[in-house]
This record gives sequence, structure tokens and C-alpha cells, in this order.
Amino acid sequence: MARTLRRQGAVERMKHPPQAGRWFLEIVLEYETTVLQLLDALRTATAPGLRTLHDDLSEHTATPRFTEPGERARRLRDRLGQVHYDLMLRGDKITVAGHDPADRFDFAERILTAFDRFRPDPPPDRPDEPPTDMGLDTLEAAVLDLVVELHPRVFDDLAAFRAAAHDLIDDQILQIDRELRFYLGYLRFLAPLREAGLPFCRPEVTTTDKGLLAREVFDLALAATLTPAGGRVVGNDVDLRDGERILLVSGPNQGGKTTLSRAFGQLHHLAALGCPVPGRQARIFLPDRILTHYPRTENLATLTGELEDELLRMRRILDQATPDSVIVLNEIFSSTTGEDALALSTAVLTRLSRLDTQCLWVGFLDELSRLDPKTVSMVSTVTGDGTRTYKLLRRPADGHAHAIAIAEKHRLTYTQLTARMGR
Amino acid sequence: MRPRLMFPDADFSPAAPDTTHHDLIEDLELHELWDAMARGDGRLHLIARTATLTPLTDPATITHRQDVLTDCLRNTTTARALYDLADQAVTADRQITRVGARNPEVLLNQSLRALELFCGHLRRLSAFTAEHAHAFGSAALTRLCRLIREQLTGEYLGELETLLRRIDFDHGIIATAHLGEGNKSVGFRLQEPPSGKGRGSAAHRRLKRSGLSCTIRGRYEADWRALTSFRGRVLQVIADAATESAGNVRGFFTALRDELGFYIGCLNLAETLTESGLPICLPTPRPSAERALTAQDLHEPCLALRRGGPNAGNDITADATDLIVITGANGGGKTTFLRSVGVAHLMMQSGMFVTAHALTASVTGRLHTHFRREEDHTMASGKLEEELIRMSAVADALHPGDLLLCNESFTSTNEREGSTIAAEIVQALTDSGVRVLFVTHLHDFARRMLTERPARSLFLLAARGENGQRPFRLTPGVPSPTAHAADLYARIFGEPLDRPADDRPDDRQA
Repeated sequence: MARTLRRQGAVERMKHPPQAGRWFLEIVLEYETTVLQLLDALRTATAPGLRTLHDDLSEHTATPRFTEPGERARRLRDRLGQVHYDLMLRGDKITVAGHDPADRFDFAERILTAFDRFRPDPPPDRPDEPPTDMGLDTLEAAVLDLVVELHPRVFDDLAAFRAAAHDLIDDQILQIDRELRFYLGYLRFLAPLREAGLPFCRPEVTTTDKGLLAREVFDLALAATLTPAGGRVVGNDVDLRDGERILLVSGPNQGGKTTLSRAFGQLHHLAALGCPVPGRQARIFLPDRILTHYPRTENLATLTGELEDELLRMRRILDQATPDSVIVLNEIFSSTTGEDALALSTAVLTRLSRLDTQCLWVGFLDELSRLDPKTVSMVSTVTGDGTRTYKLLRRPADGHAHAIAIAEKHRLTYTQLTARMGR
Repeated sequence: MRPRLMFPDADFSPAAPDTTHHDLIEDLELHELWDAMARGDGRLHLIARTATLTPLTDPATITHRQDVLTDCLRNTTTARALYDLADQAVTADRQITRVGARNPEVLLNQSLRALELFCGHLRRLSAFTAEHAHAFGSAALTRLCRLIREQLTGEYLGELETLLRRIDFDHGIIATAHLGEGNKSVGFRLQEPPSGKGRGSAAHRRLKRSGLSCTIRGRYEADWRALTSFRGRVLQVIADAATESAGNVRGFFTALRDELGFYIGCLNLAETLTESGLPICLPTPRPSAERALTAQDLHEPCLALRRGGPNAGNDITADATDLIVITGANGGGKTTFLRSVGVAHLMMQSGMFVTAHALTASVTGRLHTHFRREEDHTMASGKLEEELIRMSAVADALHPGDLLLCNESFTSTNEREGSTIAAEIVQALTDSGVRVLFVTHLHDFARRMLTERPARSLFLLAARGENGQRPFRLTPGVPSPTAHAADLYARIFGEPLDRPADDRPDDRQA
């Protein structure tokens, strides 16, 4: 549709009528095809909004107002396609004459035939013809004028058709085009990620039952940068079960904690937009708002100190938050001493718990996870030899993995490997 | 007109190097082999590389190449002269067409010159093969000489030269066209150009009578540019035909050069190896299912090429085995042996001779290596992790019927863990139809293989010779409990290695 509109604009600016008339035919036919393809694609649609659209379009495309221009354009295009002519180029002169199908124009074939025995098997790909540009230069236009003199009737009909056609493109169809672009744009963004094997699902959403169930969720923004470079994206399971409200994420650095916090926020935001979310399965409580607190790179414009700034931002978040909100906190109070941070954090935790807001909190204070029954702890994990896995697990402390567990991680145990070889 | 010297029914073309086989190349030091084949010629290097890295799995195709190689080894001068002929045609053409033109008229002239040049080379090729065809006995070279005799006759080459002279548009272009997108003139097809003499064709006469013409007024440079570009579009189809034809003839000479290039590489290598005192022989390829592997005096060529002299060869009888575990003394030739088996398979399956007195071996699918890395290149992940990542990548590429060479794999963790991992992997792979050769110090692993899967397994021992001298010979034997690092240490440091008492029950095997 975008191309049709662009072409329509270009044709309106064209000054050579035989040329503009031909492009007008293409536009008419392209518009017809686009609308019919949309109708065809909607045939299998199940969503109520798309069903209604299908029925309306089905009615519209049956009216003569829609069908007639296409039919006339096709007939004209066929007639133009039958126009053949001969040319002679010599020096600065170009001559045009009618074509006799009995004459042979096979010089190129004769050359190819002479060297045919050197042709490899299978034959090489012939290069595609370079796309023609839309315009004609002065010489091409002059040649076309000679052709018009050779075949005046078909060009008269073409000019008449163009003069008669008005309001080709329906306004409502333009509107549909704009709205569909949101959905299609998101799906196009997901396509390469899906192809790379990343799971996406339609989340189950609720506005009544708090809690979260998410399987193999991942940070969509990270996936979009990693996947084209061949990187591996690690999915994590995140749950807030009965009465649990606050996920406290701790563990070794660079273990995927911040990434998980982003995934958690995206999950809620994308679900609220009605989009498929990154993950294998998700049941999500739709929040009234999503509030985030991430460390800021130092801002010289604010004269307030970092801790003060953090506290101000925290205050604003807690003021806005309702029991139905979702809050994401990342490494707050890291600018102060541990003792202070624990005291401040404990205070914030108590408020969050009292509010009954759902929250994911990335922090470094183990003690926090034991302070309130509404909290649940997740830790980033490492293997026995200290390698990061980007897997975060629901557990209080980290254990050391055994060799077989390492092999398992690389899918190299007997069972895993036999299965891989049997693929 | 295809040479068919590498495959009875397909073309061979050297592939640009990629990183897929990086580990295999490094582990087997294949560059030594290719350098000896190429003698500084980049193209020959690439050809040797492609041939060895895409092993044949059909014994009949291997024999096809072995027959051509036998011809070349018997007629080295003729083989090299034929290669030079093809190489000269390709080189001379590259002088003309190195910079590809985009303007169709320039492209046409370029291709015409290339075609004229090729006609001369085709005449020389025809004369050369007529003189030397009798020297060859292989099916492939006999077929090629017959093809050249039948297809490149003097009469045919004369016709080509006449046609090339007719591609001349000085007296005008006569074309037909129709209307394309935007009513642009498209689909140009041409007649043989008018010669300026005689009556001309019916279309030519019709055009002369037609009153519909326009002339470039020449007031603006843009008009002349438009005329040049229009002429170019009209002549494009002729330029394409000439370019495609030139490309096809070039393809023939290139194929001839590349396919002969493999055998020239073999001749170079054979000379160097023989000078170094290594034996060479044509191996007997067997179908994969037979699991054959028998060799007399098998040598590792790459190390020998680097050192400039032979190392000790090994005899091996390992028919109907899936697993060979090699244990024993350090410096006992374990790694050399492992490489010799790998390189022999690659050489055999490229159609080459092997460095042995005799070799009968089943073809394998692809060859894979998993060698312990001396240094840890990846600071980010631990050594065991790095080994497992590599093994997992190998597993991704492995298929039943492949051959895997492991050298000291999984020694970056303690022996128990390493053995457990190695045993899991080897059991799974051999059960899946992969042949595995495993050089190891992991005693637990070797013992486990001996007790758990004694059938279809062979255990080789790098034996300690008299007075600590190592004979570089492997003998069948049960895994030795220690790696004999002590005497190596003793030799290098001149003092005994203090070793804590080893209390493992199988120590008595020593």
C-alpha cells in the first residue's frame, strides 16, 4: 500500500501522458491486488475485529466501483503488451517501424549456440535484468512518441481511461492499512527471533488475581541484539505464587539479574499492549502502571547528591504506586554504606509489602530476602568452575555443580548426546 | 566440455576458505601438507585445501582419482605441460577481464577480446592433446582427450572466429522491442548487424522506408548521454551473450586448470615426500560399513614435512573396531599416530596416495578433532567449559559414520570428573555409529572402556623402550596406569620425580 501511494504521487508529477497513463494502469492493478490479498488473508482470521473487516471488505470488493477500474486496466495493459516495433540506431538517428513476426531477431542466440558446448551443467545463473527506473529520459520519450504514432488508438483509449477515473483509493482502506501496521510491525520484529528458536506466547491475562507465572522469559531488547550475532538467549522461569509479591534477585554479577528485571517489566508492558510476549508460557496480572527505578548515569545538572536523587525517585514511585501496580527496582541505594542501604531498603520493603504491590527487586543484600513472608529469592547461578549460565533459580543459596551437571548443561551426557545423534 | 578429472559426473571447484574446519586444520597441521602441494602457488593451495577438506565417501570416485593420479605420476612432464596450457589461458584472460565493465558496449568489447584470445588457446589445447593422448591410460584423461579431439575441430574453431568478426555494429543496430513498465522500450532482440554492403534484411529495408525517426539535436550533453545509454540498453543482450559465452569458455579452462591443479599438487607432494624418505602408496578404500583399518608402516606426513625427515611408522590392525584408545608414555608417539590416521583418511578420501607401505581403510564421513588446547584463548570461560563448548559444537556437526580424533580431551578437570565426562561422550558416540580414536591420560576412562565395551575396541600402548628410549611405536595393550611422566621428567630435569605412592588397585598393571 505504501508503494501504491508513493507511485500515485509520482505519476501525478509526470508530464509525458503516454508514460503516466501506463503507470496509472499499474497503480490501479496494484491497488486491486493489495485489497484482494488482504481479503484473502482475512479469510482464516478468527479475531472478531478482523472478521468484521473481512465481511465489510468482501462486500466492498463485489461492487462495480471496485471491480470496474481493474477490468478496464487489465484490458488496456494487454493491448499495450501486444505493441511490437522495430528500431534502427545509426549514428545520431533512431528510426521506428512496424514489426513483422516472420523476421528473425536471434543474433544473441546465435552467439550463445556457437559456444554452447562450453556451457557448464547445470548452466550458470543469468544475472537478473536490472530494475528499470520509473522515468523516461528525453530520448526514450522521443522513441515512445514515435511508437504512439505507429499505434494511435490504444494510446487514445489509455488517455481516456485515466481522465475518467477518480477517487481510486478508498479512505477507510487507508485507515485499515495504518492500523494493521502496528501489529504487522511487531510481528515482523519477532520473526527473526522466532526463527532463531526463541519462544513467544500469548499471555493469559487477569485483572483480578495477582501473581505471576512465566516460563522461559527473556529480555526482548537483548535478544534482538544477540540473535543476529548468533548469540544464545537464556530464558528464565519467574513465579509469584500465593501471597508472594516481591521477587528479590541476588547473586554473582554479570549473571543476568538486570536482564531478568527488564524481561519482567517488558512482560507486563507487552501483555498490556495485547502483544505476544517473550517466553514459553505466561499468566500475568495486568497492572495499572509499571514503575521503574534503574541507576542513572550521573547527571551534573542536578545539584542534589546521588542518594538524595535516588530517594526522591523512590518517593515518587511509592506515591504513584497502587496495590495493582508493578514496580521494578534495580540496584537501589548502592551509593551508600551497606548498613544504611539495609536500613533504607528494609523501610522500602515494608512499604511495598504493606501496599501489596507486585515488585521485582535486583539487589545485593541477602538479608532482605528473609525479612518478609511476601518475598521470594532468586539467584543468578554459576557452574562448578565459576562460569556464568545466565540462569536464575528460585533458591536461597548457590551450590557447586558436579562434572556431570556441567556435561548436562552442554547436552553431552550419554542420553542427551545419543538423542542429538539420532536427530 | 567438462574435464571430469575429479568426479566422473560432476565439476570440482575450489571453495573459498571459511572457519568451519579451523580446529581440524590446526590439530592435524594440514597447512604443512598444502604448502608442500602448492609450492607457493595460492591457487594450488586452495585446490589442495578444498580437495582434502571435502573427503569422498564413494570408493569408486576415489579410484577414479587414483587412476588419473597414476597417469600423472607416470607422465609428469606431460601433466605439468597440460596444466600450464590451461593456466596460461586463464591468466591471459584475467589481464583483459580483471576489471569488469558495467557499460554494455565496453563489456561487449571486453568479452569479444577474451573470446578471440580463448580461440587461440583452444587451438593450442587441441594440438597438444592430439600429440599426447596416447600416453594416458585412465578413463578420465582418455575421455578428456577424445572430447577435445571431437569437439574442438579446426572447422569448428574457424566458424567461431568468423562469427566473432561479425559482431560489429559500425553500420548500425537493427532491433525489435516492445513496451514494458512505464511504456519504456524493453525486450530488445537484435538481428545480425548490417554489413554496409548488399540489400539487407526485410526489417532493414522496412526501416529504411519508414518516415518515423528522430535525430539527437546535440545541443545538450544530456541528449548524447541518453543516446549512449539507449544504445547500451539495446546492445545489452549481445553483450550478455558474449559475456556469458566468454564466461563459459573461461569456466572450461578454469575447471581444467583447477582439476589438473589437484594432481599437480600431488606430484609436488610426492616429490617432496620421496626426497624426505617417506613411503607413499595408493591406499585401498573400503566401504564405510566394513570398518576396515589396516596399515603397514603408516607415517604422519605433516610433522615429517615440517621436520624434513621421517618419523617412525606404525603398523596397525584395527578392522571392525569403533573405538581405539591410545594410552601410554608421553612423547611415545601417541599424538603423531592419531594424526597419521586422520591425515591418511583425508589423503585417501581426496584420491591421493598415503604415506605408508600399505593401507586398507573404510571411508569415513567427515573427520572431526577434539584436541586439548595448550593455552586458554577464551579468558571468559573456564578451561573445562571451553572443552565442553567445543565438544558440543563437534557433536552438532557429527553424523553416524564420521571419525572423531580426541587428544587428551577433558584433562582440564580432575581425573574422576574428566573420565566420567569422556566415558559418557565416547559411549554415546560409538553407540551412534561414530568411530572414535582417543589419546588419553585418563586412566579411569580407559579402564572403564576396557571393562564396559571390550568388543569392537582396540587398546594401544605407547611403550617405554629400553633405557627410557622411546621407539615411537605403538603396540596393542591394556591401558597403562600412568603416563610415564616420571622418566620424561627425569630426562629433562636430570633427577627423579618424587611421586607419592599410588594406591590405586590397578597400579599393578604397570
